[in-house]
Amino acid sequence: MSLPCTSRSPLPVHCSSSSLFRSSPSATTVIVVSEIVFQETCYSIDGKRLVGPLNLQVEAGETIAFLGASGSGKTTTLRLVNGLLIPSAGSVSVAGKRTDSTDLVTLRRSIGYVIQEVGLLPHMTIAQNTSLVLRLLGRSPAEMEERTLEMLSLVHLEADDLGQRYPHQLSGGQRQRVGVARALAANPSILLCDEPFGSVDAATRRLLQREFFDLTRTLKKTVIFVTHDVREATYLGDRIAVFEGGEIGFLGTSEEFETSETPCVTSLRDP
Amino acid sequence: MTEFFSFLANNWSEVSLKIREHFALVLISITIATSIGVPLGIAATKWPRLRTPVIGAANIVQTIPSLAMFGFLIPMPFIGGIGPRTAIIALVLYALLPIVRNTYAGIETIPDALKEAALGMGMTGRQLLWFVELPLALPILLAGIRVAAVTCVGVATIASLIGAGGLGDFIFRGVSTLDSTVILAGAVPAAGMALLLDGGLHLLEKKLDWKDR
Repeated sequence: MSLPCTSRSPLPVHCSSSSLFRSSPSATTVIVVSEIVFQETCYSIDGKRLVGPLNLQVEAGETIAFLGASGSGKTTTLRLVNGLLIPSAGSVSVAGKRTDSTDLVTLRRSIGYVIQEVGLLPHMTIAQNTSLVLRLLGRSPAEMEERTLEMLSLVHLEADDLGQRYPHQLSGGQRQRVGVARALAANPSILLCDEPFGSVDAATRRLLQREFFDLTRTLKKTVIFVTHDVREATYLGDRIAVFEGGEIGFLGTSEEFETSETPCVTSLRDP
Repeated sequence: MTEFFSFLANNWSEVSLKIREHFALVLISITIATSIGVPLGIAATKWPRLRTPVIGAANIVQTIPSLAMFGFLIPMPFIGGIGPRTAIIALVLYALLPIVRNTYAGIETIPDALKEAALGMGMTGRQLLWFVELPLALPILLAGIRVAAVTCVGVATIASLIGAGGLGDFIFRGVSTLDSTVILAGAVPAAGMALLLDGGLHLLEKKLDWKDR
């Protein structure tokens, strides 16, 4: 079953720069329009509904974890945000613009995207991979170089040492960090992560989770994080959306998740 | 063997002319076949409906015996006749299959996750092609050009029959006079050219292959 929209929580003024702000006449309060809005969103293939109907608002600066078993619709829902998939019914809006009526190339360049296999281009060096979105945006070589150094150091990688290497010459954990650095290079307000730490060992995974948590809170990014790991979801997510059969069966904070008796939650939390 | 070398020495100006003619036939044909075959292979990946007719047609051309192909082309208006032009058309048709097939295979074997990541970061279809698909498909594409070039060197010897020149002139002259030295004067340089093209393009393939970096 799908849950109704959650109430909007007021967020601090310093949240993402690309958020849409509307000042009240008195100019004392700031209303933040949700960065990502799913409205009666469905996605079907050949008449078979894979996702929906979904109603969900993701607020600016919030990290929401999509949790659920394989095939529950988490990744499909994520791909509806950057227009890799277009809803069959209903809509998805990003910063006030519907994905079915906006320029998808521009939309995608404004959203960071990290996938499980990271998607680093094997024929490009780490520096070239990191600055790729900036290159697509037509930024100058000097700016690309400066930003690459900044981003690699942000994810605790030595640019001097690793910048000229190729992805296959790096460890799994290093590649994941480069994936995050690349997603952040163009300073997007939104970050979509599809099980980005799924293919590294447990110790590296915990380290990457800690770094990612600090990074996204410091940079005030709006994050959708897909995972099937309960611990990862409760650690990283301000809120958790549990997916079951293409719908959201539970939506709440980590604390609410820990105490919920909803069957889809208990089956994940206490297997 | 001594006779062979003395033949080469005594007829070097003619041998070198035939080598140049032969190489020109191959080079022009491969250049044209690449400029047609690569876009066709790319089109087959973008519009799956094109795949069967494009690769099927190239396959059918490949099954036509080369002697028959030259025979078919001679009476054709505009493209037929005697001389190097007809030979080049036949060689282009033979070279198309490996180039189209390898371009298609090279792009199709790129993992979907990579293409998705590229599109997800905001690449246009054209940028995906230039930044991701062609560079990653290049080693396989070059292998197709290599196979096409070696095939062309062999088929081009038969082009002598329709007055296209090249090393086939020595081979057919030697066959008609039962002179194995003259046959070798055509066959050995042709084999050497095939080996050199094969080796050179293989080196280029290795140099451009990202897996070897």
